[in-house]
Amino acid sequence: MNSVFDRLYEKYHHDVFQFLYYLVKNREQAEDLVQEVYIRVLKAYDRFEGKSSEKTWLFSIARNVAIDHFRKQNAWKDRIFQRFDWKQHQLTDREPLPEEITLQKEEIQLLYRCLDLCTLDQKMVLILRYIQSLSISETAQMLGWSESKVKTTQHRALKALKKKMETLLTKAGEKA
Amino acid sequence: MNNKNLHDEEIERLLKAMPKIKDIQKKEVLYRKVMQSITHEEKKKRIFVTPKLVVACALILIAIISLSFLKNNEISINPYNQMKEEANYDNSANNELEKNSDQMENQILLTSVLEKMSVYKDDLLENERVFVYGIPDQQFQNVIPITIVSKVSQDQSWLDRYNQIMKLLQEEEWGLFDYYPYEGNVSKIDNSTLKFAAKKTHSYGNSSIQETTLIISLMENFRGQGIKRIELFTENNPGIDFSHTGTIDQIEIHNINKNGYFLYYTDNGYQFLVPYRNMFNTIEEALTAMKSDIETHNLYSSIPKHVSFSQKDSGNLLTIQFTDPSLIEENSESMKMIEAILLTAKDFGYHQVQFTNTGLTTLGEFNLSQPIDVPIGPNRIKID
Repeated sequence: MNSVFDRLYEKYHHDVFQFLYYLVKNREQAEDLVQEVYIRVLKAYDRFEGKSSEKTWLFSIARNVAIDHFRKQNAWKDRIFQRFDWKQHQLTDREPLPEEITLQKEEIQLLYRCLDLCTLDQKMVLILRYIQSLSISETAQMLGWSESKVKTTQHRALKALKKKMETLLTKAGEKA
Repeated sequence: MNNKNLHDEEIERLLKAMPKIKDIQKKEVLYRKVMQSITHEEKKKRIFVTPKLVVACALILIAIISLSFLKNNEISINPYNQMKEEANYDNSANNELEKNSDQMENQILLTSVLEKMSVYKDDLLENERVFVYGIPDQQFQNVIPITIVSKVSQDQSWLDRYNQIMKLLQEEEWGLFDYYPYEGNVSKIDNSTLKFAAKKTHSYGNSSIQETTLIISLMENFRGQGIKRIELFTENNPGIDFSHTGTIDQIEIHNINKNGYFLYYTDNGYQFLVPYRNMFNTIEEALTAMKSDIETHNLYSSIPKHVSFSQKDSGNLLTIQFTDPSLIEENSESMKMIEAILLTAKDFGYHQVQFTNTGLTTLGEFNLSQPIDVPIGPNRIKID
């Protein structure tokens, strides 16, 4: 086994996988994407200059892979459903909830669904900051952003999530 | 949650409580998939990368010439034009450079990719031995020999360790049938004879497929260990009752099996070099057959159709002379071909193979300028 692959896998695989998983919320897609990450990593490793840490570099590749994935997916959606009002249907999650989530409390399940209503940038910040517990400065490095951009995006993301959660909870309350 | 007005802190707390999600895919499987895609993309890449490289090389050339120009000519009038002329002038140098950096580009890509699938004598560290297990695929069409390399401690025999590892095999993870451990025991009678005692309740007699799989697996597993004969028992009684051939009380193990090796891909991304047990008459016949797929067995050609060669043998050494060296590229396809030929040569009794007119001096870890020893075990797999 290639030593670069071996080392990166042992050190960061689960972090990278989890990052991608929460972005796409589909195990198979996350598997495909993580595969793509390693393909790009192995092809470009000789050009890795050590300017950033290996972890930062790896995550920046994962981030690009995810962005490309959503770009492709949106292009596809645009072609197929030109007149389809996508926003209205976003909450009806196409994916069944994974077992890890269904085992959680109701609020967590709700939050998991609401994540999809954030922008990609917001989602990435939330995952890195809260699920992966990275600091603002680490998150900034991974995303290639300034720390203030991380802070602003994080602030907006939390706000957006809060609003959505509140709306949904109110609705649920009315029904009950 | 009664309060419908949430605080930021609560959202943060919930986010932090989101469950950790782990990849359930095995590392080895992922690795193989990654490697397969990389080698698959190699060819495509080569086509697209060239125009960019031409430009890059021209620029490098200009830079080199300009440097030497500036050094050699202290009084320069208009170096830039002259440089350009020189750059255009020497086209052959340009092409040469392009070729070199094309190769460089590929090497960068390949040094991390070209891994051997089999185990060779030199791969073993001190006290390490090889353990081969023939495992049927999910359809029982092929018995796929895999090799585990493991240390054998001093107070233990090879066979003890063999029996231990047999229980650790994770066949299903490798996309194969969960076959081991045997429904029976393997023990030693003498240095060249083993005893296989099936349990009373064994299922080897249920069908002819079960029967052949057992026999082939026993042959695969012990032929590299100097074993010539295996005596078959059902508990303490000699012989095993098979549905197809009746009672058999011993099998002879041959080292020369005259198999050709083909590629087999499992559904979960593993690839193996697998013997097709057709007993070819000559190695020439086997090597020719290896250029085509064997659809009935889901086996794929291990030698590209367009590659041709002649073979010559002198004792234990087989020489394979390729007709057109430009067809042998430094990629994993060539690696698989070389290893398939080596395994086939081994099954025809050769000890070494010399590849000539390949146009390459090395391929992965192989030094093609010297005869290469045949593998001591096919399809290396690592287990925890």
